[in-house]
Amino acid sequence: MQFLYGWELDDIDGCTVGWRSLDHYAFNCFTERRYSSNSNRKCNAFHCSISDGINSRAGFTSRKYHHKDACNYADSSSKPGCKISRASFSADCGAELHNDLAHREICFSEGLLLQNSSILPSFRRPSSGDVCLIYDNNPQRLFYQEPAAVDSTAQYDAPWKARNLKSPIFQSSPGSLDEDITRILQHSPSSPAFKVGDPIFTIRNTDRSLRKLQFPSSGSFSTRCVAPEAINFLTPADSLCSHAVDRLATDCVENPFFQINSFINFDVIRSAAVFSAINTSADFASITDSALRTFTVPVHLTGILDTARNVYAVRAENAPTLIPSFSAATNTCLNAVKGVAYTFVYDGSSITAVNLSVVFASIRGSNGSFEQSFQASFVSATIPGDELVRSGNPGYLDGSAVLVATVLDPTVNQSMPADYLALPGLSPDGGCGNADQLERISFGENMQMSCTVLVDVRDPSMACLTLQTQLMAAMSINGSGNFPTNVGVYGNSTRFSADGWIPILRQITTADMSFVPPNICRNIVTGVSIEVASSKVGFLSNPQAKITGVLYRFTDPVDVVLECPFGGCKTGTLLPVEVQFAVSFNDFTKSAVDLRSLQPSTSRFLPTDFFSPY
Amino acid sequence: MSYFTVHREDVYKDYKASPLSAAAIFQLVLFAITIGAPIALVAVNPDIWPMYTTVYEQPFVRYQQMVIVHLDLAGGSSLAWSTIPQYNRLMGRTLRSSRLKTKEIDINGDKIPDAFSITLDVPLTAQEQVFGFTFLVFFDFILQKRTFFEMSTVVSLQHSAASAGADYFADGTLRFVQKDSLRPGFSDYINKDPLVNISSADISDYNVASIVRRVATRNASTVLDVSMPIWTTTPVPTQPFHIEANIHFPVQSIWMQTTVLHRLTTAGAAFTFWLLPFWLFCWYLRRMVFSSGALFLVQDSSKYSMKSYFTANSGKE
Repeated sequence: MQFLYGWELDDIDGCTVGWRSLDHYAFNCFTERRYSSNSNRKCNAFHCSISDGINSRAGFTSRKYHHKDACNYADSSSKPGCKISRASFSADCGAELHNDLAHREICFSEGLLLQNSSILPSFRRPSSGDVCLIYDNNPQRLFYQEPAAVDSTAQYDAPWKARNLKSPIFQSSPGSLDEDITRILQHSPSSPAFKVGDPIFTIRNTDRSLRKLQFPSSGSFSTRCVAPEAINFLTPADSLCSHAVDRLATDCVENPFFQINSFINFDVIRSAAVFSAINTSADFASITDSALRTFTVPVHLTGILDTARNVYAVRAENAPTLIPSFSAATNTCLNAVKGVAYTFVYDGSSITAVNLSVVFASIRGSNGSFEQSFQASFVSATIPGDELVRSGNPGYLDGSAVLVATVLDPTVNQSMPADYLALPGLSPDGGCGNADQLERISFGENMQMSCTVLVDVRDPSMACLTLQTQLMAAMSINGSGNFPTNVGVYGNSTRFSADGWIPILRQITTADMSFVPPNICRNIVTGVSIEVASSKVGFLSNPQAKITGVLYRFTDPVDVVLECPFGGCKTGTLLPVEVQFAVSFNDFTKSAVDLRSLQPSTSRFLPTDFFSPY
Repeated sequence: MSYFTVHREDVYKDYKASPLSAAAIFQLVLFAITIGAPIALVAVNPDIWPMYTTVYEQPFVRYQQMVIVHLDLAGGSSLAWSTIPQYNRLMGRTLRSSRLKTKEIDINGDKIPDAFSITLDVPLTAQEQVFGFTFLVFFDFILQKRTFFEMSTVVSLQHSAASAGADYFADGTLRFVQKDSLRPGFSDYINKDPLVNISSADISDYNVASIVRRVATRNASTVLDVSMPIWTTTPVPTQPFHIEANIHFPVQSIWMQTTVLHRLTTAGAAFTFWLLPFWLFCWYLRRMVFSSGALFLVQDSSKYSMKSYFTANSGKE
């Protein structure tokens, strides 16, 4: 049953009753005088119209509901829906309508409602049951409620809270200094200590302001240096970004990232213990110099390179005097910082030293952009002399470097110099790079690459003699032609003992290299595939990756044609010969044995006193 | 002393009639209704004989250790590289040796890769700027649960821009596209043919359009859906052009033909569903008609009935 609450209008002619419902749609009804054919009694038939509020105002009636009594008896056979008996008409019209009106309520049975076609969705005719009109004359339904003044922030917050949202204001960026200090203190309030990922705090020498150590980084859509990247404790970081040099004369002297003072003019907080005494950033401004030295570490310049001359030309103590200057004659900015590398020496949870290596360069205005590199690395103070960062403890971590070593003399139990497994870097033209441009192999990451070795083909027979040596040198880590002999089983293998190092296997098909005139160099090995076998060991809940073998599988010898290809050699008569590399990691993990002990069998017997319970 | 039921069993009655009697015809009609009506309902409903079905399976996608990349540089020149040595030899001066890193990611440890990460660095000289690229990565696409289906497929990443780029990043999902249904238990060896003849010295064999055409003519292929590629501008001179893509291998819905067993099982279940009400209806009707004596027949109690028991033992006492 559906109820429609209405508003009574004035009576007209003592007979017509009009009323209106605005219960989110209009419902207008009025009575109409009709006469029964078998009795001259007046009968009130209701005509009602329903429309939504908008169309009602426009005076348009889109839905009509007729009391079925509106049908004439003459129509009862012809009109669909007008099948009503004479007796029922009399009964319905004669008495019930007036009685119901007296009770200010009238119901139309579902069968007495006719509905014409309409697309208005505001009223859904009930699938079953009656539609009742209730005259309550409640005027509040017809008007909006009088709004109260919204005069408190809580009221403004209510709609947002209801939708579990915050008001649309720019959210303040989290991670203020005091919040970081509070978080560090919450870790261990009695003895605060830096943990991995905590920011590195600095105190600027000029105004004693506490800051986080950051260096420029690129954003998401450009390589420009636009955003700061924080350096976090025990988290090595690399950043490479560029500056536009279209306003070089101004930027040269104003851009702080071109000046070395921006990277050295501060001290680094040694330990988080200082925060137990000074726990707000504002309190650091009033600290004396002597007190400051007790809990800070100065930045120590260790290396300065002038890339223009590619020599260590400036003494470290003179570095702060290297201030960028602009030469209008050459449109060049001199003494600009090109690269910065911090090395943090740590002991447990404290920083014991900060070393800085800076690279200077000149910025030429014609270059369009100036690239800067920033690096942060961490070195343990407890293992002096070994700056090789380990790759896990004990198992290799995904993405960490693979440790290898070269045993120069296997008969002597000497310490083995550890290194990272790497491939030659790529020079900008695709050539096999030198030792400074190595591409470190990450654990678990397969790699395919090639680089080119330039061979002078003016005399093919001479070129063939040295070709294999050149290619093997390119395949080795440092260009020496020597390959590592051992690999670290675990990520924490140290250089000070031979334990934990297993030999690297090699598979190479040896064939006599020969020169076949006019220009074919036969049986040349042009590539190597480094296949690393690893397994997970230890508890299933805490697996540790272990390297169980490394195989250097050299490609089968092929013929190399020593002539410039179609289109000619790139540089005169230098033929680029491609050297191929592939690195693959294969998992040889053996699953745990699904072995279970036999379940004990149970023997069921009746109680001994079953037959003689007494 | 009170009694209770300690055992209950049916008492059978035999109603006998001649084969041409009304009772026999009545029984025949009821039997025909019991069996025939469910069969008719099953036969007219096409859903009961499903010719196709959809199964869900995560494909085993295996990197073929093969890529081809082509960079469009400023001024109309280009660079190319591949993991196919023969292709690189054909490239001549266009060849630029590059570095490719790949990683299969198995999140749930079920030995089926859930995603694949690929990173390509193409070194550039200071004068070279990239305005567009085409990057093809070749995979094996294997289904092995309901059918053994294996095909070679290729993922194509392509982008061009008005400004020079430094990096390109894409995160996409590999989607299986079928033109025809797969047959259960059928091995599709045709699609296993490699898309590229890596020993060919003919450059037309490596043409991207011909590779795509080869894929398009197959009954099944894959499409990489990349919704939000990111093109990073303002390259740093001499820094490599960097392409990074993560490709996810989710569970695919696979359009398959049904097995004969599948069809029989489905139809059998439907037949049983309809058989039950008709059987009950006929059972009640049969019982009502015969017990009321509406039809002429000879009633004979079975040998297990109480009547026959007492009849058989009446002379012994």
